[in-house]
Amino acid sequence: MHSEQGTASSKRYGLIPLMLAALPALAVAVSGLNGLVIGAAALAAMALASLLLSLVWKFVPAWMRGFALVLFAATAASMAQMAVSVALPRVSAALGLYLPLVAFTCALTGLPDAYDVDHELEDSLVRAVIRGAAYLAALTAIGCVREVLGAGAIFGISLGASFQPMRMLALAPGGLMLAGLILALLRAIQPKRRKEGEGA
Amino acid sequence: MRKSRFWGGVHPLSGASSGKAPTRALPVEQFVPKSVRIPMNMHLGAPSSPIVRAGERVKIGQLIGEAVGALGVNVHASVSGLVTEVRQAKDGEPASVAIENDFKDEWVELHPVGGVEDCDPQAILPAIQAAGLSGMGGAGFPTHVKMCIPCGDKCEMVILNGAECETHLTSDHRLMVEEPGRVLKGLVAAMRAFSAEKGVVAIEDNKPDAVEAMRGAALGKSGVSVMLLATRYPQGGEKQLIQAVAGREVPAGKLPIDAGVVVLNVGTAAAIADAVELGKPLVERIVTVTGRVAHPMNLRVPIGTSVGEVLDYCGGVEPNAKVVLGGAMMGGCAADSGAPVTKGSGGIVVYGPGEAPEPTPCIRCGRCAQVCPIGLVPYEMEGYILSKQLHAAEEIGVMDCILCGCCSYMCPARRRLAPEFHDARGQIQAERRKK
Amino acid sequence: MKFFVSNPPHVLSPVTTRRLMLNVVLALVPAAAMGVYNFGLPALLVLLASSAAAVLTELLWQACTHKPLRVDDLSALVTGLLLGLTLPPSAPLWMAAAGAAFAILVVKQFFGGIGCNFMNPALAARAMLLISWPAAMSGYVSPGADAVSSATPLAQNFGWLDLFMGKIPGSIGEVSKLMILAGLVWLLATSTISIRIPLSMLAGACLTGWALGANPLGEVMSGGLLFAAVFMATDYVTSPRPGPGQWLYGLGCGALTILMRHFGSYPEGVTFAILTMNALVPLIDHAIRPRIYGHKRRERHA
Repeated sequence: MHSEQGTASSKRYGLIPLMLAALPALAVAVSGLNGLVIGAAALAAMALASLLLSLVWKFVPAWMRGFALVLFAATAASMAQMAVSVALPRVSAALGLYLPLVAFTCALTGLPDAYDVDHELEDSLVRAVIRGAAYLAALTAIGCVREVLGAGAIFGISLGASFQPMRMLALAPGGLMLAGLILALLRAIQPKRRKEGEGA
Repeated sequence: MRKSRFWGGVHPLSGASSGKAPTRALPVEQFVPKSVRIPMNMHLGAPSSPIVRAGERVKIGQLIGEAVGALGVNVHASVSGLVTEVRQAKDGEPASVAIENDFKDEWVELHPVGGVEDCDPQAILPAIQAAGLSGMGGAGFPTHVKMCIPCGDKCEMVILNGAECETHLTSDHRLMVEEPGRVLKGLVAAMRAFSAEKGVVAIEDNKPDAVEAMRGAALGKSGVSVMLLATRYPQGGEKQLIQAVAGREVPAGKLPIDAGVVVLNVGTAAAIADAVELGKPLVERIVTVTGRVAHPMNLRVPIGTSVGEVLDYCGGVEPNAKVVLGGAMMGGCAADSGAPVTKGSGGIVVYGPGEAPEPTPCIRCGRCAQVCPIGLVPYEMEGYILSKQLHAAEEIGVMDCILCGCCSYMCPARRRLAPEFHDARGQIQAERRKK
Repeated sequence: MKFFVSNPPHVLSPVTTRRLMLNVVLALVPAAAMGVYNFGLPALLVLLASSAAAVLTELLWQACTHKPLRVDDLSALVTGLLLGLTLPPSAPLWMAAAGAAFAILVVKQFFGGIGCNFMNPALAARAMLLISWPAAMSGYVSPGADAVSSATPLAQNFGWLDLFMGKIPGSIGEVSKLMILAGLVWLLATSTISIRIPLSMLAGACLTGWALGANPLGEVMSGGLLFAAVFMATDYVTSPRPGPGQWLYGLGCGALTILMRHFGSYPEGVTFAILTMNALVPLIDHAIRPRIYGHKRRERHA
């Protein structure tokens, strides 16, 4: 039951909108640490928003649902940002506005799951954590690749002076290209899951 | 004066005088076949229905197939002798009548209408219809239907198509050189039938002797002139001819008469003269036999003669040769030696066997768009057709395509553009009929 | 007797894709030869590296994705050679190879292979190299034995003959205007390209340069403008359909080049100018269509 309905969002919207939620992060995910922190914030925000929503879902009338989604996503994103600014102030300053932005958009794409199904608290939480973990992995990976190839370092440790890094990767076009490549790789290794007309 | 005001166009085989060198100076010889098989579908409309039976004796000019429907055309026996077989339509093969030649050359009784200059103009059209005339330039449009002018339209000019822009063919050329008077008579008859004031014989400038002959025949005839055209394919296409001669365009989806013009092939004109002055139906035509044959020649061939018999007379062909009924740009291939010479077959051109090259990806060079005489963008249309967006292809004009083949000729990637457009048009027309 | 059957037309023009690409390669030979003569062995090695990498990348891609092997249509060779000619002779060989691989793999093959790229592959690869390793790409070497790095020639003053013949620092193929013009003559004589784009691009550059108060001839003679006008902007896939659209495209390329040179942060503007116009080409082709016989100008839809 988990696997069947766990991807209701992706079935409805496909992979690309989920990707779009994390795209603004590419502006700042230029190092492994940055990617890790943003990903972790997104994960936390998704989990928190999902938890909050499922707690009050039964009491929310139909006309208020959209408003409720936005409210909970924003709340979770703000809380994640506050946490990071306290725990890692320098990283938080470097990430700037992008951290709460990405946390918000990721939380938002995950939430509609919550009212597709006769959900239970544990189910929606687990789903949110899994998707959040995917974002975390992807953003960290992208950040690491861009740090190694684009700046010649890994998690702040330099890789030697003779290595000429490819600066394009540290800039916007490189980030987008990398995201595209990852998408292509995912498609290449998942041919059977794709069906006709299933978006993205 | 050379005028060529049509767009695009190409010069196929320009280094080899378009392949016409072997036959353009050869006089036309009469060919007598042993037997003929006359198909019932040599024209654009519904196939005619046979009215003779096996075992009957027929004479030349005898009606053997009755016209069916509004676009139907009569079919006549082209040799005298015994009807050996009347085949019904089957498996895509049309109905046909096979006649064994008794070499007696007996004609049926003919009923001429009169001289073209002084006969009753109203009698010209029935004579043409009875004679089973359809376009001899290849399209096979029923001539008597072309002669029906819709209410309110007026025909200002009759143009005779003496361009013969296709490669290899010299049939029309030799007709104009050897029988200019007969061609002119057909033009006069058509002008009188249409009440047109002007008649123009349009000839490409690679046929100076034909131009001279036609000019001589046109002397003294009021309203008739001979116009020289620059040699370029497809100058002889109806739309291009009207654009170059009359300076007008045929509106999209309409016929030339809507531009006040009628176009007739010179061979059809000569047949009109025969129908009116001699009462003769269409039973034979001039065919250019050339290419990889031992003896290229121009032959006057009875309709229905098999390609194999003609080729044997000219020296035979190698096994698995490619035999094209027509020029190199638009001619269709004969599947086997039994294929007949029809009213629209201008030539039999033999090529050696050989695969057409494999198409490679389109490089968007745009050469196809530069040579299209209609102003279409073939590579774009092909893109839509291959991605199954026929509606989009229709919007950018695939139904206006005249299938001349200029685009396929020029394409460096050897893409099969013209056949794809032909298929797409067929599909679109079928869909339109469903609605 | 059965006959062989195929679709008309039964006669084809002698010009094939390979012939067109070969014409371009031959047109590039004078510029390449002059570049090697001016800059010596390093230039030759850069050209070899980029060409070989381009051809190899295409071969590997087509083999790995089970597509028919079409390296013999010489389009990869053209891309590699073009890229190599826009690089400075001091460029490291691995950089030239990486650029060529990027051009073929990402810009060309990822978008659908030959005929489907929306940007000029060689130029896009040059842009990629420019923003990835800006220092290596700006190291202009004076011709001759000394590998003396100097500022771009656009910033210096040279005599007209030197600018024309190519005894100035710069990229391998861009410096000798004489050789580029020789290539242009070959391309025009073989009807491989038409004069529209090179002419309009130079006109656009001259007009814009004159409007900005710069010396128009000086603008044309320096930098990669002439090379790009003849070889880069005329790429079939990324330029508009032959016709009025090409005049507009060329003017835009030329004008943008001068504007970027004067107001942009890079000394050389032609790369990004042409890439920008490449993106606008579908719009140009959509807006400027030939009139179809029998239809009036306005109504074009069946």
